[in-house]
Amino acid sequence: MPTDTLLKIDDLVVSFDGFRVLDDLSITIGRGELRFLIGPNGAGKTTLMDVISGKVRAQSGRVTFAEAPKPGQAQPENIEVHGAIHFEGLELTKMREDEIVDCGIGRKFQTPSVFGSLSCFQNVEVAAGFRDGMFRLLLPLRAERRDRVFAALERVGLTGRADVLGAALSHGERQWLEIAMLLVQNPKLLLLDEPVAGMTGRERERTGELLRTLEGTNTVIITEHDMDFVRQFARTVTVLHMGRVLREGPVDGIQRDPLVQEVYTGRHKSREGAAV
Amino acid sequence: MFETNTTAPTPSRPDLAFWMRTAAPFVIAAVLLFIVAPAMLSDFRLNLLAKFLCYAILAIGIDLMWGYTGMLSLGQAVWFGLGGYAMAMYLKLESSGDSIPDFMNWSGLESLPWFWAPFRHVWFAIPMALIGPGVLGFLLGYLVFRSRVKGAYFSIVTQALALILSIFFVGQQQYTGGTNGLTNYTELFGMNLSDTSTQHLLYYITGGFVLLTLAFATWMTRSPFGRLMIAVRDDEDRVRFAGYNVGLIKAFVFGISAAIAGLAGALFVPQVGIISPANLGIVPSIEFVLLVAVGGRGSLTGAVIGAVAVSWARSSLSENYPDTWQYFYGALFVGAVVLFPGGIVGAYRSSVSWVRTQVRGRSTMPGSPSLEIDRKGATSAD
Repeated sequence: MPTDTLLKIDDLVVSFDGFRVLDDLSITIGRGELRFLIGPNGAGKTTLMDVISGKVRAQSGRVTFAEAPKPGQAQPENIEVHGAIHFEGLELTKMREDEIVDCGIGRKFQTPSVFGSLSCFQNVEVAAGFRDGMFRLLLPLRAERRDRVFAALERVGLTGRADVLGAALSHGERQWLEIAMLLVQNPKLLLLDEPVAGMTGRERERTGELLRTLEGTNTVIITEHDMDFVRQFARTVTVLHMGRVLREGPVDGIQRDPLVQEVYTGRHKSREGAAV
Repeated sequence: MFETNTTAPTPSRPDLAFWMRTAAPFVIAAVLLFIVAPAMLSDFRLNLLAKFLCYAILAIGIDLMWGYTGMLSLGQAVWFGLGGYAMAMYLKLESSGDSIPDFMNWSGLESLPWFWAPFRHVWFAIPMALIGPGVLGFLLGYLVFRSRVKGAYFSIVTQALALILSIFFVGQQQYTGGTNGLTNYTELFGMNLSDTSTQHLLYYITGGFVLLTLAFATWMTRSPFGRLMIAVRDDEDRVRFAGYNVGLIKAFVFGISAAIAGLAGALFVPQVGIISPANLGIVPSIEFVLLVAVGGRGSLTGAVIGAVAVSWARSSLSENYPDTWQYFYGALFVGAVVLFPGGIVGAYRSSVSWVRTQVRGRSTMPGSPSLEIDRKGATSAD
């Protein structure tokens, strides 16, 4: 286990309208670690990433609506966040999304979101300029930046698709493009929410190998549903259940853990084979 | 902006062909504006065209904001009007000589209000016509975008602003001239405004500013910042998670667009001879947006073509059908939006690519069959 701590989450509580999605959750991630988060649906995996990346924020002092919302009307969300997320001396729960990215945390969403009217190159280019000032961005692209963008595309194997618009990419290619947009920012911590969802077997393989190359240099947190993929590429796994950490440890031990097996089989009969 | 629908070429070292492609619209526009139009049009028509060119400048600003960055402001006449009033204040003081403007006398004012005084100097009034709207637009935009107001809600805020400002200008008669606005100017830079030569000069100046604004907007949209603007239009939340302060970017573009509108207003006033609260209300604001919608949003040349074409159509319809022209005008907009959602430029582009596929056969774009649909989805989803 790495000794140097990069991310430390203490007693995190997140509730939506009083329902605790995360319940006194504490996790420590070491520098250079490749950590898998698994757990059944609704365990809080995505919410955890939402809080770290700043998507979910406490809305303190908001009045909860007494009336039930009418059909079709959006549910008023009363979000509460307690606890602390420490990252290199910073407290993330108080920061804006772009400030969190600026201090070195990149995130890939579950549904790949790339800019449809920009080419692959331009998508990565936009990501690469994230620390430039407004007026720097008005000057032409430097050669060094161009090379860095191509290097990121090369790593995910999209060099040949550099000129193709984001809207014309296949699902798997979008996932890779989004990973390239993260890599070019060289973040200290990468949050990948189901990076292989919807990929074919070969695409999974390639993505898994790509993730392995990040280990050691980058710190990565991955949520994943697919147990085959986890077995193949994970080392340390954290199992979440009902907003709490159920088990944490090397992947082999976790698979044989009776409690983990029960959580998976209890919730999803069909996943019985996968969890064991 | 781009040659084809499926790809956007990666920037390489600009070669001769690149510069020729970039310069072509400017050369064509310069020839049309400075050689063809003055040779073919009467003085009256040339003056009309100058007015349309002011709208063209404004339309470039709207295109940067709406076509590229996806912010639909329905209050752009506010900035156009403020720029116009800044210029009109100078013209009014210039024509009033040593006394205070006539309408102030009628309203019982005895001396010039303090905020009118600096507008005696043309070198204060003209920069103010740009800087005033630009700074106000940026600040207002920052407040609005910081609280993440977007889409239709943003449009409503800007529309409310246009309404409030036009009511305010009507109400403050002693300072603004009320409903009548500011009119009866005599001279500019010591030249008589009613002289044909002065109006000709103003035409050339306006034409020059069209080219300058077009060059500025081209530079802006071709820079990495231009890609960022499109990214904000496509998915502004994703831009946030790419590490940008989206509120600041949008406020910046909004401010630029407001400054361009102010410039257009300042050029408009000496050629038309009047500015009134009717110029900064809701109706002109919506007409301004339609200029870009008809021309083709997301294309700078489209904005210019749309502004001139629509204004021309409006003027000739009202001349030929004085009683019913507004029906035709309305039908023109509905028809343009329904039949050509991409505007004039969009229709031109799709006909070019249709001809290309007919000539080359169907195997021109491997690997991207559904692009036409994707592209439409990307532009219409806002």
